[in-house]
Parts: sequence; C-alpha cells; structure tokens
Amino acid sequence: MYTSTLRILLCLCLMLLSGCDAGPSGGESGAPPASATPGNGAGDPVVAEPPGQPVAVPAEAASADTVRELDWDALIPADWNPQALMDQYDAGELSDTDPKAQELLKEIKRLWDEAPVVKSLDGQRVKLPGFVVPLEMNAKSINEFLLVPYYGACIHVPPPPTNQTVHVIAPSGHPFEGELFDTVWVTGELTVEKYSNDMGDAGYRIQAGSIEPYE
Amino acid sequence: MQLLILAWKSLLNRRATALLTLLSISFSVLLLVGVERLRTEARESFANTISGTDLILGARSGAVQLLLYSVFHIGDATNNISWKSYQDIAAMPRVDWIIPLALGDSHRGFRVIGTDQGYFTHYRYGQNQSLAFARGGPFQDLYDVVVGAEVAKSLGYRLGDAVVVAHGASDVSFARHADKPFRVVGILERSGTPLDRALYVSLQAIEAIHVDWRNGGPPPPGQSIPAGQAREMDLTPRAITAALIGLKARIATFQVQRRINEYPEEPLTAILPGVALSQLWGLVGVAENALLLVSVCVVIVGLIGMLTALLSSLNERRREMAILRSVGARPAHVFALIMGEAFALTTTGVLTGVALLYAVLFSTRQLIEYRFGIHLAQTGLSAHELMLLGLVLLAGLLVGILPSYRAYRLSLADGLSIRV
Repeated sequence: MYTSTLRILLCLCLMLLSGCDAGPSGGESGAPPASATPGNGAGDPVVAEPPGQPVAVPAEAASADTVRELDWDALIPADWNPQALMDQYDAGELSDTDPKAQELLKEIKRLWDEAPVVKSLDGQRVKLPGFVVPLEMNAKSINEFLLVPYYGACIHVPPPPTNQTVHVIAPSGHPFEGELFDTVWVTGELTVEKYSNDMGDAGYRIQAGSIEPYE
Repeated sequence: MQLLILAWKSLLNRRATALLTLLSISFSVLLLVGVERLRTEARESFANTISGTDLILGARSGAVQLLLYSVFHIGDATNNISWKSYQDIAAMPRVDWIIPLALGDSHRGFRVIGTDQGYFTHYRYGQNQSLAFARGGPFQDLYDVVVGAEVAKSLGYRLGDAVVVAHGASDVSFARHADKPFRVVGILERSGTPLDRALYVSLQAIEAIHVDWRNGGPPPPGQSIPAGQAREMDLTPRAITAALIGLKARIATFQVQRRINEYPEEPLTAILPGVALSQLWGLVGVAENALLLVSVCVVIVGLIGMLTALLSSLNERRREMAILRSVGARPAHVFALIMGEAFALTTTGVLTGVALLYAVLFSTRQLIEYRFGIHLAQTGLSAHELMLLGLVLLAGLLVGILPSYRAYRLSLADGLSIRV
C-alpha cells in the first residue's frame, strides 16, 4: 500500500521535474519559457535536506507593463527538489515494510504540502496556459476558477500542489464563458499571496485581464 | 397595399385551415423555446443555489450524488459521517468555516435540516448573497425551528406556530415525532433556491427527537422520553450527513480535498461544488440535447403542416390566381402573395408561440417552484432564444418558396379553363 503510493509520488515528482507533462499537451506553447528558473535536471547536485524558505529567483529584467509568458515550471522554485529526498532515502531500494519507507512518505507529503512559491513573480504581468476548474459559476459562465496544468483524468496521482495551482479571478462583468477543463490562456497580474502563518503557505493568484481559449 | 388587403381577405376565406396551421406553428414554437427556457433556467437555478462554498464533505459516494442530496435536497444520502470525523475536519488549519448538515427527517413533504448557527452566517447563494430573515431570527432553543419562505407560504406558518417533524422524507408519514413539537422562530426571505423548501433545526434537536428511538424504530410503549427530559440528556450529535466547508484560501482547495479523501479513520468524500455541477450538467446535457432535438423535429412537423396547407390551397385557389392575373397581377405578384402568406403565418405563429410561452411560464411558475424548486425568472428572450426564433422564421420563408414557385408557374389559362 505504502510502496504503491510511494511509487506514484515518485513518478509524479519525476514528471514534474522533467517538466514533460506539466503543461496541457497537444500544443506548441511557442517560444521556450522566458524563465530565469533553471530546470531541475536529474543531474543537479543533491541537496541533502529539504529546502526551507523558498529562495527568491532573480527575475528577468522585465518591466511591469510587458507580459511575460510563463510555463508551469517557472512557478516552482529552483531549489525545491523532492528528487533529492528520493535519492537520500534510496527510494528504489526500499521495501514495503521498511520503516524508512513510511518516513519517506511522510517527508514527501510534507514537502508536497509545503509547495513553496517563486516570490519574485509577485506583481508581474504574466500569461499562463492551463485547465479550468470552476469555483464560482452561473449557468454559462465562470467567475472564479483554479488554473492547473493537469487535472481530472488521472486519479492515481495527487492533485497539483499549491505552487502548480493559480487562483484566477475573471475580470468583473466579463466572466469566462466556458466549462470544466476548458484550456485557456490567462493574462493578468500575478500576485503571491500568503494565506496562513504556516511556513510556505502561499499561493498564486491572477486578477485576470483576459481569458482566451488555448489554441 | 391592395394586394395585402386581397391577401388578407383570401386568408379570411380559408380561416379554418389558416388557424389550424397557425396553431400548429405556435405550439411547436412554444415547445422549442419552452424546452430551451427550462434548460437554462434549471441550470441558472442550480448554479444560483450555492456560492462561496469551497468543498462539500460527505460519506464516500459520487460527487454528483453528494451535491444533489446535500445542497439541492434531491435523493438520499448514502451514509452518515461520525461526529468525531466532522470535528477532525473542522479542526484542520486551512478550514475557515464549516456548516454541518443532518438530513433524514421531514415535515409534510419538506426536508428538515439539522445544522448550526453557522448556516445563517456563512451560507451564500446567488452572487455571494447571505440568508436573510423575513421575520424572526435563527433558532436559539432546542425546540426552535426556522422555516423557508416556500414552507411558510404553502403551509401558512407564522412565528410561534407549532410544527411536528416526521421521520423519513415522504409527504405522508406514519412515524411522527409528535411528542416533541417545534416552535417557529424564524422565516427566511425568499431566495428562489431549494433553501426555500426546507426547515432548519439545530443538530441537538435532531438528536433530541431521536433520543428514545431504538434500532431505527419508534420507542416501545412506556419507554419514550418526554420533551422536557430530553433537554437534560447529552445531546451531542453522534453523526451528521454532510458539511459545507469554506477555506481560508481557495488555492489550497485540492490539498484539503485530498486530505479529506485520504482521511484514514473513515471513508469520506470532499467535492468541489463547481466541478460537481459541471459533471451534473454533462450528465443531463445528453437528455437536454435529446429534448431539444425532439422540439426541433416538432417545429419541422409544424412547418411541413404549413407547406401541406399552402400546397393544397393552391388547388382551391387556381381560379383566384387566374382572376388576379387577368386583372393585371404579374406572376411576381402571385409569388409575393403566397410568400407573404407563408411569412405572415410563421411570424404570427412565432409571436403567439412566445405569448403562449409567457402565459404558461406565468401560470405554472409557482407549481414548478413548489414541485421542483426551480425558480423561473420572468426575463425577456435571450440571444440564443432569439436566434432559435429567427431560424424558425427563416425556415418558414424557405418552406414558402415551393408553393409560391408553383403558383408563379401556373399559367393564366390553367385557372381559367374549366376541366371537368
């Protein structure tokens, strides 16, 4: 039971790190992400302990009025590296009954829950693609939704962590006319919001200027 | 102008067929727009019922089912949640507020909901509107009850009236909690949602009316506990049916949902209302489309009826056409005459159909709200409905072309020479 959950988490971490399926598939997002965040390759130096405070990543020299197209990897701090934890515990070799496996599972869950954010993104105008998960809706339109890079199809993996979720508020008077799991481009100012006093409990929010269908 | 008067008189001469054609078109339009209207209104009504709730907590079941029984009072719960689990969830650091719901009892066909004061402060419907009291206030005493607007209206309740709650959810019940009557202390303002059709008591009250019930049955003779004595007992709820959760930050919705779904001590389900609603609409969408298809077919049948009437009238009107031609009307006039008739029939049919729709809406509004909890707003025609009506008009014109063309082609001699 534990091992299977472990494997799933491991797979998910790898998936996220390699960034292969992190965005909605089936479309060229065009230019490579204009992100200063280096990808967490598997060859990165191993960080022994899980990162505490997210370290600010130097932002691109972008002025406030230019829109920066983000990909989902750019929302994860460079030093947030669950893979290191896996390596530390030698996850592949652990058996079901090994108490270390349960310890690792707990650690991973904690790390996953923590999901630190990239603070330097605060206040930037960004454009981000993703799936719509409605929060507030009318018969035909959605006023508030969560934007996620993957959702729904796969119940085996945990839902996206908070740093892979963006709370989008549609422009007032112009709700998004669409449905669950529509793919959209959201453009607007990204704010990083601390929502509780717990360490790392922060999330992204976009007060959207426009919401367009993803082509 | 003269042509119009002639056309009108000619139509009057054939008023029985014309009226029947008109009737079939207007009924088909009524059906078409009615189905469309009911579809959007039902969706609007459902979407308006819940707002501001981030997660709905229930025993393990399907998302749509949990949504239906917890919020819309449709169907029955699969299972209860233990009070301890509820308290554990309520104590989660990311939970801002939580409203418990205990279902299963009713009063003359209206559901009785056991909840707490949080219901009146945290529940939101429509566009972030909170519940308001038309009269009175929330329950304070153990045997106080707050009633929804529709309940108060249809049962004629006023503040201070006594209410006896029945066991089970049926209109007719043989197991009443008659020994513990409730007193109406508050009447909610009308919200146009299923909330209007419910009664609200405290969780402790739900516990109190069942305190002497054993193994799902009423107390054996001599063992019932009177209302006053029940007050003194421990009325901590043992279980609730569902709970509505508001989070401190919506961004953490998935995390809290996951944690609830993986709660180790009891199988629980947490759903996002918006997602469950979308799933519900995906389900009923199939039936809606089938209904729409049928009503489109009915419109087509109505238009074919008009075609038949026009075509067969051409035979009767051979003489009429010929006389028109002989006094100077051109073939184009004849064409315009028949086209005009088709257009006039369709337009009048559409207009009477819409008038009928509003008449029906107006007269059945209360019944629909009472029976189904769907609030039909008396709004004008939506863009989509106008488009449907435009399509019907266009189809009517197209249908008119065939008989017009035939009349156009009929020669003058054809009408004047009598064939026996």
